[in-house]
Amino acid sequence: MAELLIRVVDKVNEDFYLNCQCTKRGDVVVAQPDGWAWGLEELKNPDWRIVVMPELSLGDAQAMLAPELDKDPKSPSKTLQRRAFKFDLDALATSSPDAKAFLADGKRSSPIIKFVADVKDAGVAQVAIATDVLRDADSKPILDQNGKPTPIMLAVDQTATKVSAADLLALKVEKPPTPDPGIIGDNKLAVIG
Amino acid sequence: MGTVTKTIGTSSRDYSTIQAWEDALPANLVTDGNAQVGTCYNDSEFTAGTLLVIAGETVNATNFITLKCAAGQSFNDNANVQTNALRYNQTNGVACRSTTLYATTIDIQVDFTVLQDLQIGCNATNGSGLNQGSTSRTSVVVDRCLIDCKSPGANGAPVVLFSGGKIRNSLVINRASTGTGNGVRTGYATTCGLTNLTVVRPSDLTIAGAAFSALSGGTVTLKNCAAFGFTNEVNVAARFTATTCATDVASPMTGFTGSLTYTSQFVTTTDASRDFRAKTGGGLIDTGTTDATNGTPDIAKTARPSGASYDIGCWEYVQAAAGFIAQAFAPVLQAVKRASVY
Repeated sequence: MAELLIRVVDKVNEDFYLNCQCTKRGDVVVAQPDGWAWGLEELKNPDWRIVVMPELSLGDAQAMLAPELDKDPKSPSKTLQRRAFKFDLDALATSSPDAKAFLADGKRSSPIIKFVADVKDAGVAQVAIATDVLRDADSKPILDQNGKPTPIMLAVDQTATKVSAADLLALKVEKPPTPDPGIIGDNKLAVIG
Repeated sequence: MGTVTKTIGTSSRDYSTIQAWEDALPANLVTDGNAQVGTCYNDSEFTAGTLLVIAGETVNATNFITLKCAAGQSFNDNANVQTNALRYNQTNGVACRSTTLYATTIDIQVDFTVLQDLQIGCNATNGSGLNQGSTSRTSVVVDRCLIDCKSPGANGAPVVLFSGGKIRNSLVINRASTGTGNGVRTGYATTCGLTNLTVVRPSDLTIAGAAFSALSGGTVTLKNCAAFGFTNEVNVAARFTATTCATDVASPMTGFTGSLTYTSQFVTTTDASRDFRAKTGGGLIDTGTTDATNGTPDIAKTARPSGASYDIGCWEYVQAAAGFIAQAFAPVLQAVKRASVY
């Protein structure tokens, strides 16, 4: 029931506090319903991967989008992270060779992976993806009768791998708080905690 | 240095969601050397729990983030903009809406960010349309946006929580059926310029809250703003400076004209049929102050003034220049004006 756009490479800002607000490896960027029409850049960006998981409820998927919340709103933290949870992608790679190859493929030769619960559904399936839009000689998009650019559809192999929703959710990890270097003792408390 | 423009929509655009576009932005726009522009297409309504968080990027006055509509895609590009009801309606143009309890539709944590020509809605309990958080900003700009929230204020949440910068020529509708929610609330120690805003609660809902609510230590300048349907036009007068503003509140602060009849100012003021275009003969027309920097064009991209002076509120009522062309020709006049401005 859900498709996930997952970051596999940290987004890094050299500013410590701004860096806390950047998504990191394993964070879900967006969670969409099955059959979502992903954009051209979403299929190409080497920092992302798309996981199709019919067995995963949209609610469980969207729960991955929750930000880290202030434990004491009267004393707001400056180090709250964009996402409170992440998927342990290293553990996922260990558990599934297909997933490992998919996660390691920065060229995104197969832009989407499908996780299925039943082994009989696993294997290679073809899916249609949009790779660009039709353009005229001046490189302007050619519009269809509804005034929208006409997509160029391409059938590509989509790896289908046996990973159940329970398997994936078992890799859901709550991130530890990031100690604030501007608060004396914050780091120590985090280590003790 | 340049500008990187990406398309956002669900019909073979660069990004299918606004959040993915934001996530793909460089973490440091200054060292990257480019301004970043996301242009939205009205392929479908943008919906999500929290639709968009802009956070974690380093920006400056040259290399900043803009989210706007692609050409022809905004409600104010609609061919019938002069006659369409002025309220959230995705069929009129790009529209984005949060759907989750306590969620904010657009959360801006980065300074210098610009939002233009968007419809922003929320219809979940205690959601807000636009939130800048508690950190003071200086240069966020919101232009010609329509922010229409069904239930922002059961516990006092505002439709817009703003922490510094400018909001101009925009409509803010608080549609909370209960509670004390405000229209626009500004944060602690923030400097805000609010120009030609219409901030309203529909007339058939319980009067409550303040149209403009400022926390302490800030400086909030109101010019040509309309505030209707609230208990108070502002929460604490000392925190505001107002110029040629209007309200239905009796005995408002200096700078407001009070006791205007609500239903005489807008086309339809009740919730279900709400339409907050200025109404013929209303007290908002030609009673504002000229502000060529922040006041024009209006929410429909009509150049101000049309008539003798700027109107109060987000909507500039289109008047015949020679005084003899009926309002029925307003769409034609509008087209002429737009052609001359853009």
